[in-house]
Amino acid sequence: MTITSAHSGKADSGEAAAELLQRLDGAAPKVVVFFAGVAHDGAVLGRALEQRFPDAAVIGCSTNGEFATNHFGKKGAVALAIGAGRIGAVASVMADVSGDIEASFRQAASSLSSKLGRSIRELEPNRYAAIALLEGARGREERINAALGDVAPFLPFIGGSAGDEITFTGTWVWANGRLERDGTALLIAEMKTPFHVLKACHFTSTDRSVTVTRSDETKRLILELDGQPAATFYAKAIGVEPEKLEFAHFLAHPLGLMVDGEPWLRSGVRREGEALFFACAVAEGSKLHFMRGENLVDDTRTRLAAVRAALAAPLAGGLFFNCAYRMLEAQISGTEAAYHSTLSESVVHAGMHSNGETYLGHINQTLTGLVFA
Amino acid sequence: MDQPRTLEELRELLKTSINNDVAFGFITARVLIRVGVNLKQIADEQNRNPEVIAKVTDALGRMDIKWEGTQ
Repeated sequence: MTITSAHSGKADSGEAAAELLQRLDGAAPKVVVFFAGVAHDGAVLGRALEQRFPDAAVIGCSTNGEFATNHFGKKGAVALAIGAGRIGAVASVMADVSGDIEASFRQAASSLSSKLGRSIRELEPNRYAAIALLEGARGREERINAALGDVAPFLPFIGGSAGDEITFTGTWVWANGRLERDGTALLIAEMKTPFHVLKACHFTSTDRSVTVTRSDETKRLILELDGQPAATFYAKAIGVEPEKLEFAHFLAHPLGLMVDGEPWLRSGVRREGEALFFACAVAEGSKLHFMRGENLVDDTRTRLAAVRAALAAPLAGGLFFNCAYRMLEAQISGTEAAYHSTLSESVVHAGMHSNGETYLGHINQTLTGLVFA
Repeated sequence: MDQPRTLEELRELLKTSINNDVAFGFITARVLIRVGVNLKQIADEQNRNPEVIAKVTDALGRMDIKWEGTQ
């Protein structure tokens, strides 16, 4: 019934695999999720885990940094093993995203449905945990998430975009014995114990909002805000000269959609002429709120306490997808150790710093996760 | 039945059809992210805009979400 996390700081994939297996000794998992630095050979890690745990579904992906209970770092590897007693039916699949993404996800949905014996469209979201590890370097997460929504609109996949040390040069994903550089790993598990979806974002909405009046979604560009050139409008709104806009300004002043009082962040990356390049596409007509940052560590602690209260039980394990922007913010503010201590004090876990997060869509500057009672 | 003439009308049909607040929330969040329309807080300028209504019904159609009047 246990959930076990493991980590290795080794840069050699064989050594990292051996260390993970040593730390997972005694585990009897039905699901294993692993994350590792992009320079690792994901196939070496994936195969080692599959060979040691032949009854488990094993998925994994590359990262911008990885963390686990009492550990955080880069270029290493971490894993979370979820005990067989917690899980009923389980299915995983690798979806090819190199061509027709919609067709590929229809095929993936068919495969998952067949393995689970039920259409994934009909699965109850409070009983089935769904995980997605997305190819994360080519800017197609919107299409991938839309395709997921098309095949399973009532089942929220939780996950993130694979990382590559924030270079956007190439990521890898592992599922079902295959390593793909242009794939998305999907896993659905029937949970026998309660779990909760975590979506934590330490920004709150200000009174100020703006409408996206022109955008180029395929390029993730916002061209106009309230009918004015986006860069000039945004710079003026945050009190900066347009030509002086830097990444730090975007990091500190994201915009966000508001849904039921909760922010869904849309994070700027850089100015491109009079346009703004974002880390996700923003549809024309979207009303975006200017956000105010709160304390990352305190907010995370509060969110995890809320999950504990919602589950009305001690937390047994967590699988986390933490935006690389949150990692950068923690590093810049000197709170990285405190941030990871908060996670470790709250729950046994493993996670990655992602190139974007998945929950009903592609989102930014958020911690998404599955937390198990 | 004809297509809804306003987003408010569409929202009510959808809500009745889905008949589950959590599931309705999933769908409205997906629609908002995909087409920029918040069905839970409809903007005045979007409510009667046929192009916007078409974008929403197209997104719902892709997800095979039905409501009264759809085939």
